[in-house]
Amino acid sequence: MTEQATAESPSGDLAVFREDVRRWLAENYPPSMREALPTEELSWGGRDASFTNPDTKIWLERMAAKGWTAPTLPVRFGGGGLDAPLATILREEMASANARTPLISFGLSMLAPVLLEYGSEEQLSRFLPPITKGQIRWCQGYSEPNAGSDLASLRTSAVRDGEHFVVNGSKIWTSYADKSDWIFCLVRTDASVPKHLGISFLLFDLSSPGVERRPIVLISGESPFCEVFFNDVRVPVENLVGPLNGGWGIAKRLLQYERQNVIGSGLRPESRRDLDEILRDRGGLNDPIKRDRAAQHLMHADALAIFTAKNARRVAAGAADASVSIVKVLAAKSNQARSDLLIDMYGLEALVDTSDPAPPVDSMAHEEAIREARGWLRSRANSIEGGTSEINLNILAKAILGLPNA
Amino acid sequence: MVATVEDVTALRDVTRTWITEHASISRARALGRSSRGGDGEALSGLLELGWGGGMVPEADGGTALGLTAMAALAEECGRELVALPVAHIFVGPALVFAACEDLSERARLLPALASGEERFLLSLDSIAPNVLVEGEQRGGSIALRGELRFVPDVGLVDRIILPVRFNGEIRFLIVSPSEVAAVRRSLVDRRSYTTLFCQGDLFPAASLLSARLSESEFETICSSIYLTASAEALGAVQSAFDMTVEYLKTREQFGKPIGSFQALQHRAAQALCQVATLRAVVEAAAAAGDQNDRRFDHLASLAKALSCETSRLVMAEAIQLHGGIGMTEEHDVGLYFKRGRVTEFLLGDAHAHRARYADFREL
Repeated sequence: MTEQATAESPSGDLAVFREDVRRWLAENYPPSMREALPTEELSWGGRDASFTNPDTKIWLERMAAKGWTAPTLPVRFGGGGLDAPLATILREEMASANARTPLISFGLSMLAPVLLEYGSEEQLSRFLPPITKGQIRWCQGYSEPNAGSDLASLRTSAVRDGEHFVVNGSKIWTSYADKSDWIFCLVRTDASVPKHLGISFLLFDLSSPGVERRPIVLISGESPFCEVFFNDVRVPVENLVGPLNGGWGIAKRLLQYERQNVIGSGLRPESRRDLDEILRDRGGLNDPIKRDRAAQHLMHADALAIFTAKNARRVAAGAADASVSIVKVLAAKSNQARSDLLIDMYGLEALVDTSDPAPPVDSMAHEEAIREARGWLRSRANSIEGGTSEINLNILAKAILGLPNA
Repeated sequence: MVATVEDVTALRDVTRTWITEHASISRARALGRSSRGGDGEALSGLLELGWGGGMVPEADGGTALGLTAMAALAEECGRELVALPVAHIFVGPALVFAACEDLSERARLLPALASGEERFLLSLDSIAPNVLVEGEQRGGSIALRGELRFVPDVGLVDRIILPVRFNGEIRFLIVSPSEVAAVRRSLVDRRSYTTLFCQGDLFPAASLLSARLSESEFETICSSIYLTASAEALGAVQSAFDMTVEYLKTREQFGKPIGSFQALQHRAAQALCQVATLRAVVEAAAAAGDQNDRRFDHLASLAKALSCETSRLVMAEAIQLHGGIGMTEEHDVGLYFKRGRVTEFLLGDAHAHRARYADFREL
């Protein structure tokens, strides 16, 4: 990234910066947000953003004004312009103030880093500020009905017509497409060449004529994913990122950022109570066998957090590589193991069908059990979305271990 | 002053070169050198390289390299299965001596330890290192009772340090191995293990070292020991894993390298995930130790438990992916497999360290 000026602390005095951050957080972090975070209060931004707790909006605006929704992005794009050590201090101080993430955003975690690498100056100035302010919510148009693990076989087409591309086709498993404003979308711009060489990376507004979105109901009863259909959607040519037919490299790069952030986005640990707290409440630590199993799970989660942080430091130092697939594989496994552990502890209480009006939800503990059960069903997707565990193992085998192709 | 990243890299390179030339597993095999009782030549060589002072404060004649550097040494020894208990010799004694309150005692012990002039081994019970010898006052003497099981490679040193629980404190006594009843056994890793028995043996109370530790201070010394042992296990795991990946690239069946088959690629990649995580954890635990981070104790147990789990997986996969050749005495992979199973038990197994982690995290 460019312009890594230490704008907040030109003297580079880390202790002073830490003190400033601490004071600012104490004065500006809304007290109503110090409670455990309910899922409906997660802050995603966007044109239709709703704020069940009005303080969520205030917090987002205050943080955006400091550029701290995107601490390391350059100031001219709405970021904080912090270098890695200062950004670490901000993260640490937010954690110790129990401050929630002001903005969860695919625009921030996936699109912004690839735009910085591949976008034009005009694209950066146009797209980044609304992302950092949480004004535009983005979704990821990757998978198609016949292009899942074999993503590069995608068929959604974009045909040039004067100053526009005309997009036709469909996407599937598009997270929160129904709540998003814009899409970063992989499209086929040349069907006559090998599949990886005819893909482009296109940005467009989902309110354009010809876009239709349908949520998919999952086994958990929730609908985080959509089908999206494109029927002669006209997209200005200036919305193409990188060269025409040069989208595959960008697509893979973006997946590396997605996988590095998998713990922060898809798995959303911040909306939950700590596992050890739940286990303690429910007597899950009394018996030595249960305690051993719980400790083992917590240790694996701890180890994964340590590896993820190490990998994040490498990425920040410009050494992003396929080892992010290790994070992806292990995070999916860890989250699924967590849910299985909790379901084992709650037993059948957790498996009540909430669509049946008959059974009353009789206590807070029961409500939590059911919420965790939802998490259990959701967690099965962790090893499928963002590249299946199998695809990530393929990547590791080839890119890191150097094993030969079949 | 703890060693910098560059220092550690340089020390690691020098050490690896020395081990490759003088103490590698293939060299040991070629020379037909039995390492039962420990590799004394390797110990002398590493002392000449200056490792003896790695945990000794600079003011006492050491280099105070710190745990990150010691973990690198242990890992390099682990890679070639060098028959040396790095934790017991290069880490434990320095930490005990540095805790001595009597300045003349420090001045006598620490510089001699750092220079390699005197060799000590901290004899910890291998199954449960916090099980110590119990001491009881008998006039001017102290009577010791208890046993320390499977202490590794006692034959490498002239003097061992016995940890003693005495009057509510943890104290230490330097003795010669011949002063205590001992039973020596070899295990499948061809290393020598000695169980020491104290059956009311009397020692002058004045011979206790001046270090007086609380339980929690002793646990932190143990954490350094566990971390070092985990790094040694990591080295062995990494070697067996590298050897296996190399084999997958060269062994051909059905007209192509077996490493081109997805079923085997996935198994190797799964193992990679575990090895990479273990490495990150060992590094983080060592850094926490060097920075006196309060998380050090639980991170050390995390490293140890994870090293047991990873070793179990990777060593078994190493044999399986080598196929029949992995079962033969002539192939090194079997040595790693056997050593791996032994190291799982040494200094507390995975269950013991999960319980210790849970205690420190107050679960």
